[in-house]
Amino acid sequence: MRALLLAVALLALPTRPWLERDGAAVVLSADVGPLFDGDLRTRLQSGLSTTLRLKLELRELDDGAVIGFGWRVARVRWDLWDERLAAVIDDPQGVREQTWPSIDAFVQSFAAIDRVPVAGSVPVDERVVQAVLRLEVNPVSADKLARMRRWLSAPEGAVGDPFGSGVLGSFVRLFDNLKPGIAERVLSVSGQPVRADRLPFVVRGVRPGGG
Amino acid sequence: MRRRRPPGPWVLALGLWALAPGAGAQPPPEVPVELPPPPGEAPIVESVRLEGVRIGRRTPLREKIRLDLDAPLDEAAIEDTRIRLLATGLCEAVRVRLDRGGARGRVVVVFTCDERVTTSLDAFHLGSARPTRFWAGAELSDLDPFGVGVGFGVGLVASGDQLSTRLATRLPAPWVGDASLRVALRYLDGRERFVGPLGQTLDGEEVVSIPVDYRRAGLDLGLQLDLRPFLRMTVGLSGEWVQAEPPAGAEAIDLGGRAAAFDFALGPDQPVSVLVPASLVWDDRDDPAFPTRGTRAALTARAGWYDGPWGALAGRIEQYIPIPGGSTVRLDAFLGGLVGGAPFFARYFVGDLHPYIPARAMGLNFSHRRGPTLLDLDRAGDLGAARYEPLALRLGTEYRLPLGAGPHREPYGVEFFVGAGLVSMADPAALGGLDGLPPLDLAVDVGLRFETEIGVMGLSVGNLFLLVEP
Repeated sequence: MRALLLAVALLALPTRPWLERDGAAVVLSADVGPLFDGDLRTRLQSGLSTTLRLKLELRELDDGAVIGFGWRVARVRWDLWDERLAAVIDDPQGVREQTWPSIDAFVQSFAAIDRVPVAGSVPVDERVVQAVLRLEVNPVSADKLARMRRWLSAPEGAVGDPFGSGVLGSFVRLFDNLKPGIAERVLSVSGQPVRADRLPFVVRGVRPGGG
Repeated sequence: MRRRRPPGPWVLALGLWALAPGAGAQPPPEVPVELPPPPGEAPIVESVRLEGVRIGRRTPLREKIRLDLDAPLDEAAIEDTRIRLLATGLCEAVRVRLDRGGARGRVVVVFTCDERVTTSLDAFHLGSARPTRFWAGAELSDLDPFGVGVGFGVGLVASGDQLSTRLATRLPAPWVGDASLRVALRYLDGRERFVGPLGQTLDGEEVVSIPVDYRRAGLDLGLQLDLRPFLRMTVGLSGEWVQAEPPAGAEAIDLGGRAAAFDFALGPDQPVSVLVPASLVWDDRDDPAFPTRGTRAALTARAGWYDGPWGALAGRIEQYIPIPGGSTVRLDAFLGGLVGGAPFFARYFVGDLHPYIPARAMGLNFSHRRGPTLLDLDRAGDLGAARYEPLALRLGTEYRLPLGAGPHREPYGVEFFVGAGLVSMADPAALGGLDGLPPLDLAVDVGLRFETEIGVMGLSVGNLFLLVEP
């Protein structure tokens, strides 16, 4: 039994983002399955298309500058009658269609980040880097965002004065200002900060973070 | 003696840009959002259900749902509907799901709304400037206080000797599409301190200003129509009773130094004023509170009758341009012209264009300040002589720097702004004797703006001049 648990642990991807050097490149591994909470699974099962945009970022801890980047996008739809999930997946490898018999099966596949290159080269020096993974559910374009908040730009006022009287922007306006973000939901997870000259090298045959 | 000019706004802006955290960070590249729909046949829409809203609001909100029944599901139309529901301002979130319908392949579309607090403090008036020691007021509105799809608004501003109040309601007007009808009653008891271009006399004596008491009571009707996603039109009709008793024996000193009978543009013999305003507004800014890109433009025409016919046309444009580092530049221009015998309150007022002179609050002017005249042109054409004029021009720019992570990474935040504008106002009839440039002044404003969960607010030099007499 202990051997079985050890084997599972060694085969599983790390839940926190794990960075390694693979030659000159830096690769990222993680299992973002825990980000798929009950609400998100309910959304996936709504019968409507859901777009998931996963951004893999390698940032410098000091100033937050992005020095490496990877991505994966999926548009998925649960068929209410056939009870299966159909998806279009897009990533740097290209666009493909796939179906899964359950939400769990889809999550297991989409959430597995296995040594995905995020940076072509990162100098071996004392800078501290950190992996940040952001999962955006139904990202909203700037155009849609503006339309959602259009009511805010038409306050009560005189008909002949559509902009109000403020010219240089001195104003006070209090209201329930719940502001939609860049997506319906944004879920994120960050890795441990690590010095660039202490990034481990990929060992073939051993799972990332598996020791 | 010439006054020292304030430091250039670009010097301040560049200094703060260099200090802002993350100012030099590179944004990550854009990732595609649009993908084709997953494979599979679209189900047929059997019916539509709306959940989570008060009974009275169901009718106006259902009118925003435009989905074809017994037709294949159109996800783009569902998303459009969701945005239309959010754009009413009544819901803080709208979720959509499908339920199985009565037969295989048929579905019920369910919209679930989380209602929001719809009361808003639209404006807060507070100031102190000679000759008014103190004035205060507020304008409150609610998009739908009783859950019946009807909005209400009240406003009151007062000082020791002036008062303005307004009561308004906004009703849906479905007979003209996505329109709303605004009906407002207002009453204003004012005391305008008139000043001439270079001075004024009363019965031959030089005076600081000539106070004239007046009262106005009116009814405004306004129809607002959304023509396109970014284009809005308003048309209105206003009628009001005006009562005033300007003193006889008042004279104004004009720009040539000559004394002439004071034209108050307000008379005891004209008790009725009628106005028909119409506006076209284009607004494709990415955010109404803290925009970073886009355009807002308006063309406003007014036709009225007071002491004979009068007409006015004004154009205004604001362009927001993002620049590297997360900051934004705004360019803006305003040009307005008026012909005919419009009452003084329908003319362009210097305080509405200049940040150092208190703007009118709900139609009332509380100050006789003439402005600091930063350009100090030292001639009769100085903007300090301007007050209520038929011609107005403003060309301005503003630099906005988000402090902290900025609006792209955080929904709320603080931004620093510095703006400058050239303001010109004139009466062409009084400009005949002048050479060179029309009256002109420079306006500079510097401050902070805050966007929070409870609203937006600003603090600037212009605000301080509302409370401190320069």
